[in-house]
Amino acid sequence: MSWPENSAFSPVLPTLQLAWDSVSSGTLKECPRLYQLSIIEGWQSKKKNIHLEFGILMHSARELYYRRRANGQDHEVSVREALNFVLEYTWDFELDRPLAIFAEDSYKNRFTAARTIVWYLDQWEHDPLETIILANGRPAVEVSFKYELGVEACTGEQFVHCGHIDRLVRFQDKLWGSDLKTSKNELNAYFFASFTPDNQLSGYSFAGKVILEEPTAGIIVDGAQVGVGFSRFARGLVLRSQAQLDEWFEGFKVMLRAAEGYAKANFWPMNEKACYGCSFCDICSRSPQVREKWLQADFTKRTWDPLITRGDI
Amino acid sequence: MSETHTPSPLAEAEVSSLDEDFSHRPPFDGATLARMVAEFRRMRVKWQAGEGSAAAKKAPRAKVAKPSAIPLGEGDLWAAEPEGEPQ
Repeated sequence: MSWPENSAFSPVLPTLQLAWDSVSSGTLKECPRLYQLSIIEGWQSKKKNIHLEFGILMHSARELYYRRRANGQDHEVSVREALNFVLEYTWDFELDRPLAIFAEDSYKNRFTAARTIVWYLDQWEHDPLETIILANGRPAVEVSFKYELGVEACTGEQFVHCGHIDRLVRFQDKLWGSDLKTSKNELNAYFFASFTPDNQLSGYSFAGKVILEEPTAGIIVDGAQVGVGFSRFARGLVLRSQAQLDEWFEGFKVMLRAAEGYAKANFWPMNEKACYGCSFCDICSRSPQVREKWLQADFTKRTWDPLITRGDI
Repeated sequence: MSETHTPSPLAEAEVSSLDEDFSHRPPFDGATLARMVAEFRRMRVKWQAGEGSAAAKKAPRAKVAKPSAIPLGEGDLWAAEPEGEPQ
């Protein structure tokens, strides 16, 4: 087995990940075998996931809007640019038609994406959340962070926590992270409660306290409910006490030691209780000696490198 | 989690006014984008009017949890207190 070149991994022990983001840590916590297949070996389904694609599109369009606004451009022109971005992103320029992935789902598609971004940006035109302007003068949107955890790996290298926070804002004189989450479901107490506990948002809160001179108060989740004929919005505060963050970090360190153990044993066991809905279930259900052939037939490879930065830190 | 409230899809005629634009290859000029934005806004006003009358007819629902609803701009903001005591 040859491993894809990935700067997030140890040159000494190539299956030991040193730089961890929420995707890779969440995947390992879910199932070590899923982590091996999707993060270490880089397999991903050939069939794209509309929920993932729709989320990426919304984040990117929102990012564009906030960058324009922070540069002094007015709301109207910024909304039009965000809309144009959505329409370009969802167009198949080779076949000269809308991308197939954005034409298959009655809730999340090209039309509802365009409608949602216009309605969302109008909803928060006079946003009480003020985007932080970084020391370099740029707005704090899609902010990449990376710092050493103070935990040494068995190889003598340092573990790193990294990731990307959608937006840093000031609200009621406090600093907050802000994240956009789209859903088909109603934005109620259940929706916002689903982010506590949550590996990603705990990680963002932990990182905010480490990388910024001023501690973050928490994460503000912007919920966008995408229906067939409407889009609805609500916001929720996702708070973490210091004791909760300490607990999350203790768990994170235990997870790192587990990752070391798997890498040294060169074996990542299945969590058979997490197979329902997993895209690799069909692979894992086959005998080990034929899995590689099935992977090559149904999956493609990509490199998940969380050290590739997007923003401005 | 189940979908508990899904208003009817917009009428065919409303969507079809954008169909023409949506079938064209991007990018779009400023005037076309402005027209599309205006069309989406008309849809929103109409949907909000329908949403308001539907909400008025609906009996108040029991809340499943007790988050504090803090007014934030136009929407409600839900916050769960991590250090709160059992009630």
